[in-house]
Amino acid sequence: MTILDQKILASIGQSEALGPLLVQREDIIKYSIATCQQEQKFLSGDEAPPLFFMSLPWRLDELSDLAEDGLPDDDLVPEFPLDKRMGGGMRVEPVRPIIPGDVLSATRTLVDISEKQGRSGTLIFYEMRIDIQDSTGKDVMHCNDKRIMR
Amino acid sequence: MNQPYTEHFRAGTDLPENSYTPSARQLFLYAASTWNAHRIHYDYVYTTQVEGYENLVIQGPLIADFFTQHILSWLGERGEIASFEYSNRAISYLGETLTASAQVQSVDQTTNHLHLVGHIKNGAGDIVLPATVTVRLNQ
Repeated sequence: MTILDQKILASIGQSEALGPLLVQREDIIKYSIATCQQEQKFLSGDEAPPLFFMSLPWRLDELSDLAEDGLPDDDLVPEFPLDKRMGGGMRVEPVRPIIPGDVLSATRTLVDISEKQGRSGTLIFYEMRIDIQDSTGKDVMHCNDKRIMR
Repeated sequence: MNQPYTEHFRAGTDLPENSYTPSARQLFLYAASTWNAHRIHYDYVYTTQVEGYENLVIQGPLIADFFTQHILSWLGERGEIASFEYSNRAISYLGETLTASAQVQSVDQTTNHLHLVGHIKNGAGDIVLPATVTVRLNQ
């Protein structure tokens, strides 16, 4: 028996526009320190590491908007009958490196929801597609971000 | 006539392994830099008593970043990551040492790309993050 009803599945295809955001050298440096990067071009902030885009502040939620687990509700994600959230994995396609001064915008789309029986019960999987462009409209990065509810 | 750059690479080549042991300070800094307040990365009581984990959980994308560093430290200026895919297969906890390994799976002389397959293992030898990477070589 499925725990995904039609209301939940109808959310597939919803999308939102994010940004624009200015990439600051200091933000690249902070990310590079936090991830213990070894390459000088990352530590100096001249270029961002491939997964730096994870740190771009597309949304800055208020403390009052954070749930008990510390995460904000995601407007694109429907209310699931499971409430523990985990990262599932990611596919990332950098088109070009992100550099200081870039002004980036993104489109985020809920592209899939599915369920599977795990060892400890039913799991729900959902996937976000994130397409990042620069101020000229050229592609910078594509990403498919898979999340798990348990 | 110059050799194609792909001639410098061979399928089956193992990359030197790299190990990473993130500290509580690093989990905090990563959570702060990604503006992620998920309590399983810094709140021990909540993590163990409410979510039922053994210890603070190392962020999956941080482990994935370690894997990209593993590839880039070997690659240097010879190329850049064109695509990267990973999955979180198991939870990794604060205090664990994670070891990254990878192998060149194929060399595509037509597109000037390398395909690598690899993973990150925990101290018990379990794969916590399998990954594949395509590298675009500089001409």
